Amino acid sequence: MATTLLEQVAAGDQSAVGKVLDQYGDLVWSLARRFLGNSPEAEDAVQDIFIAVWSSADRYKPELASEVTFIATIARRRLIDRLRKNSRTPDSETYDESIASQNPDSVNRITENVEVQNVVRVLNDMPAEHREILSLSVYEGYSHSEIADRLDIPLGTVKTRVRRGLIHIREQLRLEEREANGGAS
Amino acid sequence: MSKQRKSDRARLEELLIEQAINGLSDAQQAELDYLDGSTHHENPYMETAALIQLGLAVMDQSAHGASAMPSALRSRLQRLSTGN
Repeated sequence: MATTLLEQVAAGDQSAVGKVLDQYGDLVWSLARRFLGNSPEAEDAVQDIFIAVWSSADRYKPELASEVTFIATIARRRLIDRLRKNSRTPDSETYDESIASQNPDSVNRITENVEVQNVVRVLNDMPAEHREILSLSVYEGYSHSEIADRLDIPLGTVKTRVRRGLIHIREQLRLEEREANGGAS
Repeated sequence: MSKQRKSDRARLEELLIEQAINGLSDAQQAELDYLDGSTHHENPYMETAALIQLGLAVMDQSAHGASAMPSALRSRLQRLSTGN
């Protein structure tokens, strides 16, 4: 019976541990690099994240979320914890990683994931200025006050748009999920 | 539902959203634990925020190209994954 990589890790398959790294390594690196804006910090974060992913594999339930969502959620928790301890360093240094050399199979499997496709569709449907604020906050790790300064808009507007954006996307994703399940709640 | 329970529920939701976006201070975390009656929270907003982060990464990479993990980091993680 086909099982996910994380189920294989949980079952003690040592080769699956490395396969998780092959499949999701570049993605987790991209998330960390963008969110923390600092390569050495991102490298330490990626190591923490993979150790957490491997040790949490037995908690993964494929009926509740896809593997990539499970890993991205662990990554997000770790990245937020790290950012709270060390404030964000601006993206000033040169990117030293190779460009466009990601494993194409890995990229395709992520972009073809239904949950990822749904969230990309909802993001594309949002007004660009709302998406930009959400991106600066959720993707790039800027604080609300940094975003307000950067975009020269009131702090309250930033807080409201980030909060409403998150709620809106959650509602849209739940709606799509219900429709995909034939309208069952 | 009483006014108090309604306001507790609204505050709980506010804290869950804050946790998913910026994380919580120790005081906020203690308040969340108290309102939720547990220290082990399932936070649905965290998964949504992670999906948004993922979606924005995919959009960014399709517009600007993808970046791969530095080889030294990959080697370090491979050694960790095999326990060597």
